[in-house]
Amino acid sequence: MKQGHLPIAIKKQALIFLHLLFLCLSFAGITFIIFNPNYGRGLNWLQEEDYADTHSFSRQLEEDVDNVFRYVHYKDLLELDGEVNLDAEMFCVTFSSGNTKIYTLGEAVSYARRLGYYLNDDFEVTGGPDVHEWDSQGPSTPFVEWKTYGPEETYEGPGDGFVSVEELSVQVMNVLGEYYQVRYNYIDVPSNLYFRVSYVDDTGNELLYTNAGSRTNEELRELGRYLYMTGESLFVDNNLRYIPENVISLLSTNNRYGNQDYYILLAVDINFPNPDPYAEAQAEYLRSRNEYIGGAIMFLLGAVGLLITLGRMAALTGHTDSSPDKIIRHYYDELPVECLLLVCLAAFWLVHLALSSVIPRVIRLVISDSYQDYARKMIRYILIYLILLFAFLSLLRNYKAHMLWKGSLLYRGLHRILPALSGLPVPLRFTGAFIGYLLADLGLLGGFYFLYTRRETLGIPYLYLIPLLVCAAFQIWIYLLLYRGRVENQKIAEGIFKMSAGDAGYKIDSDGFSEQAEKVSQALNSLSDGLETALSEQVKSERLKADLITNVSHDIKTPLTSIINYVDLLKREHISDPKVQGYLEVLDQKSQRLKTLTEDLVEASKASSGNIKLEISEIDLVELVQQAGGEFEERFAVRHLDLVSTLPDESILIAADGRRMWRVLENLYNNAFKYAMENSRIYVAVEKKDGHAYFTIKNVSASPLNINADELTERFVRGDVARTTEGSGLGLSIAKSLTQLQGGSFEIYIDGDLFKAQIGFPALN
Amino acid sequence: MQTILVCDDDKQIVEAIDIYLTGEGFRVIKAYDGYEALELLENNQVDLMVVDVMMPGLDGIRTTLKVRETSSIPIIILSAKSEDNDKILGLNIGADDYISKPFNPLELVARVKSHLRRYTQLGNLTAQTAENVYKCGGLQINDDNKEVLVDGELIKLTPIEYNILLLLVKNAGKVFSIDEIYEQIWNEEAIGADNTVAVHIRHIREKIEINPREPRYLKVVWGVGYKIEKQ
Repeated sequence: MKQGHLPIAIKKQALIFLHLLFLCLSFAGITFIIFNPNYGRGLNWLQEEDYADTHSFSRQLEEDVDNVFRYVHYKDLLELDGEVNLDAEMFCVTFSSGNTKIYTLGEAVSYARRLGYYLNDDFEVTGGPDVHEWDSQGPSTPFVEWKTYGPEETYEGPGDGFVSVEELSVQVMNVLGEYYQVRYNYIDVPSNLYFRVSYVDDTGNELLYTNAGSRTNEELRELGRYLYMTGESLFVDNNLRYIPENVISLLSTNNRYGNQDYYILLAVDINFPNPDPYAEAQAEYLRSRNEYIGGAIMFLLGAVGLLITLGRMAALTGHTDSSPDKIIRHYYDELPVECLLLVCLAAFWLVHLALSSVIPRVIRLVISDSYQDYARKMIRYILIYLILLFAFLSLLRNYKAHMLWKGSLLYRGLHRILPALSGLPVPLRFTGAFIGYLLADLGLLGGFYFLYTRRETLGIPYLYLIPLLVCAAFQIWIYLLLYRGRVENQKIAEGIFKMSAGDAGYKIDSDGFSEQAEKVSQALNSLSDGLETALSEQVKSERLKADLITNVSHDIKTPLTSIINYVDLLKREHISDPKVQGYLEVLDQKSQRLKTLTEDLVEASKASSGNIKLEISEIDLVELVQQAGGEFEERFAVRHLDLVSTLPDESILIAADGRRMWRVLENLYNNAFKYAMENSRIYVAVEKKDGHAYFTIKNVSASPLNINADELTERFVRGDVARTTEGSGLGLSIAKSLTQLQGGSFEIYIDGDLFKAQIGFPALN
Repeated sequence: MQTILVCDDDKQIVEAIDIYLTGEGFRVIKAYDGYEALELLENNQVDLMVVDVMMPGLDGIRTTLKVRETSSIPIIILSAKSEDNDKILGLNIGADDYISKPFNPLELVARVKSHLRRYTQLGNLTAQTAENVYKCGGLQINDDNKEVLVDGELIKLTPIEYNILLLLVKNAGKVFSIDEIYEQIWNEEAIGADNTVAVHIRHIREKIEINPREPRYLKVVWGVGYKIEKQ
């Protein structure tokens, strides 16, 4: 069975187990690190440092420098030809009896031994009698004349010089012990530390103190770390990180001769082949280093594991095998989010309480006192973490079930109150909301003032910042609400303007809108949808109409051709009967009218549906009017109409299709020709005004103009009957459509019997 | 006697055209679809063809294309379709003229005559290359004897009309505005516009064009001026 097919319940349990395991791992890692002697030094030391560079090495070296000079000091005193000289004189006392006695090493040691003193494994003086001589200090206590092991001692007070022999013997034994210690640790047993101290006495003999045998100074230096110093130089030749502080003073104080011909060489074999404090310390150092690294790795692994298992838990929580699409909430998830937070606070308080009373006592049973604080801290953190984990998962389940907000007390409360409020009139609601906003601000600032003035007594630091922060967040929220409202208004307004400007297909992008604004924009969008379909339907039907009219006109034209042709042929037959001639005349007229009508119908439908290809270029309106005048002057003369033109001297350029403009003028002139009163004048004028070129034609109608100006141009659209038997009555309609198609304006004014048409175009010059 | 092939699927129209053309002294042979027309064309000496566009079988456009593969006789297309696109298509595929239905019988006859004259006199016209003779398609002006011929027919013009036409023919293809024409012909500045020039132009058109509303030679460039179409 694959991992992915495990039941979710088992996965969850495994995850919880693993999570706890990783938690323990990371805390164990932290423990290792914190209790490491190198804690607090960062991570650099792990890769950069050697044991020989540590303070612990330097401390060891300093201690050894002391030992070395002790040896230097005692060697002359106690040794003769490399052996302990039992006959060496140690001290001289004068008893109260007046006897003076010099004690040798052998005598002093055997005196002490008789009293029960001995040297233990560490060469320290131990044992001794139950009753010490100095307890019964009296006249029997001798006076010390001199001490070879402490020549510099002086006696200031009268009783200072009186010391019991026992005490002196123990002192001697101590000296011997210290000597043995150095000798044993550094000379008799191989050591990792090599020293060579050299003085030259007054007679010029070199006194050499060393455990390096016959090795040369160079060989010693190559062992690893070294320190070399002469009496003449002020500089210390060394490759140590820290120079032992005592070496300089000890070297010069141990020089009992008046010359500067001395030196010291200390060398440490950094391979540490011999078991000694250095080797032990290095082993310890390496161990702690490994522990530190191990701890860091454990912590890292634990943290990564925690994150991964947390992620998986977050993904799985609330899901079950039985109902994959439903989020299962535990009974305690039903709690409103506010209650959950309260429960968590209570849990924190309980943890705090338990840690200050019960738990420390339990810990003390298991863990030594030195780790008390740490253990308490760890337990506190672990418990807080677990509480937070529990709360997080509970919140997450609610969030997944979309109950985080809906389940909260705030929501429930608002849900109760808001419906009641929505019944109120808008001004009242708005004013109420504004007052509520002011009150909330006032409350928060008041809370801040209250806490701030009592910050000393409350004792919780920065508590007064909470209402301030909440207030700031509240302002930001209000700002965002207002901002969004403004943006929504702007977008909706833009949409409305676009739609009203003719962009019927415009859609308002309602992404991120509030509920209300979304509804408004959706309504507008569906409005624009309707508008768009209506417009495209209209365009389509116009086009269909134009196509239909064109096709029908083709079918009409063919029989019409025959009619016209045969009427013409009949007329050529020279029929003398005037009645038949009259009939023929009617046929001729009507067939010609049918012809014009068919042609105009096609043109009008195309012009009004915009189904025309325009060839827009720069044309001179003045030239065009002159040309048109030339075409019509003689026709007007037939009906005794006088053409009066008012034209400017310079040309006026407009952007239009010359042929279509001619059609427009032709129709207007034709209209004047047909309907103007005989023997009257027809006025045409071209003028430029406000950047526009205007052409105007005026005439007095022969018959009363009992018709609306609009009706004159909308006959075709309305399907009204033409008012005369001549022409199609579509001329003005065609003229208007063509003008508008080219971007011009076309107006007709009727004032009594005065007919006036005006065409306007933007002037180019 | 010149033979004209008339082809239309409407028999009455063919009949009427037959009557008009026969009356003018032409021999007419009749076809009622494109295949028939091609067949007749093969077996007869035809001088000009009048053909309808919308016909069953082979339509007028394809018939014209077929004829143009072998012959260069004048072809006049006769059609109920009067839109610009249809006219341009017809002229582009090799027709010489395009007449919309319903047509004026007299205009048809005039155009037939004009095309025949041009077609038969083409050799003569190109032969004359005198210095002061200007030609433009079927329009010819002899400046030596101030004669204007359209398709070989003498046209009577007034001196001003003659001068205007000469100016335009000399500069065939160039558009002259009313003011330019006035200044050139009257030799004075054009102040105070009246319709003199435009009226003269109209008169010239009425004299040299078969249908002044659809001129072949003297074209009106509306809003710009007038020009003689370069042919």
